[in-house]
Amino acid sequence: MKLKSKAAILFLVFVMILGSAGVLAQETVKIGTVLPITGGLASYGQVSRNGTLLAQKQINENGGLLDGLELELINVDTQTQAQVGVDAAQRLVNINNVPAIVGAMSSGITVPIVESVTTPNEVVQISQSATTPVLTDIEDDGYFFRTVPSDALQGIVAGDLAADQGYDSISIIYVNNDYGQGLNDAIIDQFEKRGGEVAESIAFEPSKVSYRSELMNAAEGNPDALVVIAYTDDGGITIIRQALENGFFDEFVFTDGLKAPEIAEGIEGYLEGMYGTTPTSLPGGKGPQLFKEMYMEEYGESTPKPYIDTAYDAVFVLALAIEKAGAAEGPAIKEAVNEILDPDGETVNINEWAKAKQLIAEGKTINYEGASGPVYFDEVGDRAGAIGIWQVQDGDIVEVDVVVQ
Amino acid sequence: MNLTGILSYFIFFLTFAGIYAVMALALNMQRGFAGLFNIGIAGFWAVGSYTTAILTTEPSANYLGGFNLPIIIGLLGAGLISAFLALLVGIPTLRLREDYLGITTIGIAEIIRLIFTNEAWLSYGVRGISGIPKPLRDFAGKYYNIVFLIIVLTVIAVFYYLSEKGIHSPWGRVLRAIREDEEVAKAAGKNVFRYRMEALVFGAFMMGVGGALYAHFTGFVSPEAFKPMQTTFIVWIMLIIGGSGNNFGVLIGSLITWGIWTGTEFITGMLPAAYTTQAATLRVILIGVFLEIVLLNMPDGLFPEKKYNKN
Repeated sequence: MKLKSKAAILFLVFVMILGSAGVLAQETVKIGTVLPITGGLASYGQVSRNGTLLAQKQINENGGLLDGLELELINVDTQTQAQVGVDAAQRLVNINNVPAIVGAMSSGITVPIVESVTTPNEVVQISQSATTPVLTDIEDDGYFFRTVPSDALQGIVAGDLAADQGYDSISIIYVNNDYGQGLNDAIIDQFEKRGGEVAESIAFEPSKVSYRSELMNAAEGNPDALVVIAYTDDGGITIIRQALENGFFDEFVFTDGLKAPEIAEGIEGYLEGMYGTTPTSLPGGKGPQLFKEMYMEEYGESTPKPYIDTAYDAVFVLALAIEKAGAAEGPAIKEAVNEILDPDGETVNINEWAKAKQLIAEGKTINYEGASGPVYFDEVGDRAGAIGIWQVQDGDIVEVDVVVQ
Repeated sequence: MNLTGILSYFIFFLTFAGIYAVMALALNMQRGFAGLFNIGIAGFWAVGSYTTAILTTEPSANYLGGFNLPIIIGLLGAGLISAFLALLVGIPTLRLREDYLGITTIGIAEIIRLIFTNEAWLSYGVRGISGIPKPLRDFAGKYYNIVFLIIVLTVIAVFYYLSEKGIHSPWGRVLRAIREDEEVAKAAGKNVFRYRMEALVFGAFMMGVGGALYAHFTGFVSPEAFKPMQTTFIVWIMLIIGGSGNNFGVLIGSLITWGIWTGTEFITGMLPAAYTTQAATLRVILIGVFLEIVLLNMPDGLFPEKKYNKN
C-alpha cells in the first residue's frame, strides 16, 4: 500500500464531502425535504416525495416565490435510520442553507432532528407524518409544526368504529413503536368507554416471517375482531394473511398504515367490507378532490399511501410563509406561518398559488384549503384535523366517512 | 452555499465521525488487540445512551429517574454500567471460542434493544427519552457544536492515549499473544480468561461513553436508533478499513467510512429531482462499491497493524 494511493483515497472522500452542492449557482429559494427513500419506510417516503414535487410544480408554474424566484426542493435520504437522518438534515441546514425542512417520516427520526438540528439552527420544520405525542410538548422555540394530527385522535375514532360495528370484544395487534403504542392506548381507552372489552393487546416486532404465535395469543377468548395497527411493509400484510389462513380472525379493523390496496391483493373476498381509519382532511373544501386529480394527472395513479397530501401541504404552507415573510429566513418564516393561516381569511385552493401570491401582496390572511383539508396549527404547532373512515370494496380502498374531533 | 456553512457542517460531520471513532477505538481494543469477536456493539451503545439519559434528564414519571445529575456523571455512569454489563456477558461467554462469542454478543445486543423497547418503566419503551441535556449549552451559545466537538475530541484523545499505552505495555503484549495463539499464552502461564475479560470490559466502557456522547449530541434516544446496521456493522467496517490493530488507523477509518456513507449523497444528489428514488438506491450501491474498492485493494486496511520490536 503506497502512500500515494492512500492519499488519493483520502482526497477522494474529501472532495465528495466538500465539492458538492455548489455546482449550480443559480438563485433559487430552497426548502429541504428529509424523507426515507430507502430502508424500512421507503415506500412511504418515495410517494411523499411525489407530493412535495407536485407542490413545487404548482408554485413554480404560477409565478414562483418572492420576485419570481424558483422554489428548489433538495431531498436527502434518511435510509430510515436516525443517525443518517440527523446528519442529512444538518447537511441541508449547513451546506444547502435551507431555511425550512419538510420531514421526517417517523417520529424516531423527527424528534432528534428537532432537538439537534432545526431548533438550534433556527430552521422551520414541518413533518407530514410524525404523530407521536412527544412532539406536542417538545422544546422547539416554535420552529416545529406538523400537518398531520397527533395519534390520540385516530385512536378515539378507531375505538368508536369497532364499537359501531357491534363488536363486544376485540383484540389489538400493534407494531411495537411509538406510533403503534400511542394508537393502541387510545383505542383501548375509547373501546372500553363504549362498554366493549379488549381481550388482548399485543405488540409485534416488525418484519418477521411468521406472526402465528402473536395471533394465537390475540385470538384467546375468541374476540369478535382484530384491530391491526401496522404498516404494509413491516408485517401488516403478513399478519392479515396469517390471521385468515389459520382461522384466528375473520373480522378486522385497520388503521392508517394499512390504507393501501396491497392489503387485499388476492384475498379481496375475505376483506370485502372491512373498515379502517386514517387521519384526513377536515370536511369542506375541494382540496382532497383537487389533489387526487392533480396526482392522477402527474403520476397516473390514485394516491396510493397516506401522508402524500400532508407532504404537499407542508411545502405549500412553507411557501405561503416565505412569501409572507418576504425572505427565506427561518425566524421570519416561523412568525409568518402563524400569521398567514387564518380560518377567516380568503380561501385559497391547492391549485391557486397565483391567487395566494396576490392576496399576500395585498396584505390579506389566507384560509388554505389544503390537499389534506383546511390547514391550521394550534399554539404548539399541532394540526387541527379529522379522521377518515375507509372501507375495502372490490379490493380497492374507498373512503366512506369523515369524523371531526 | 458559503464557507461558514461548509465549516459548520464539517464540524457537525467531525462530531458524528468522532462518536463513531470512539466506538471504533473500543472495538479495536476488543477485536484488534484481544481478538474478541464482538458483534453486539449496538447493545453497549444503547446501554450507554440510556444510562446517561436516565441519569441526567429532569425527573419524569414516564421512565426510571431522571436524576438530573451533571453530564460528566452521566458519561462516567454510562461507561461503568456498560462495563459492568460486559463483565456479566463475559463470565459465561469468554470461555467460548471466537465465533461463538460473536453469536452470543449479537444475541445480547438484540435482547438489550428489546428490553428498552418493552420495559416502559425503565426507558419509556418505544416512545424514547427526549430532552437529554446538552453540555455547556448556555455557555457555548451558537458555538455549541464546536464545544461539543472539543468534548468528543477530548474523549477520543484520552481513549487513544490509554489504548496506545495499553498496547505498548506488557499487558498489550499478552493480549496480542492470546489473539495469535491462545495455547502459547497459556503455556507461558498467562491467565487468558482474565486478560480477555479486561479487554472486553475496557472496550465496553469506551462504547458506553461513546453511546452517552451520542445521546447528549442528539438529545433523544429511542430503541429505533440501535439497529445493528448503523450501530454495529458500520463500526466493524470502520475498523477493517482503518486497519484492525492500529489505533490511528481506526480513527482515519471512521472518518473515511462515515465520509463515504454521507458523502455519496452529494454525488447522487446531482441527479435531477425526477430520479430521487433511483438516486437514493444508487447511493446505497455506491456505498457498497466504495467500501469494496478499499477492502479489495487493502485487505489489511489503510494502516495495517504496526510491527512491534522485540524490546
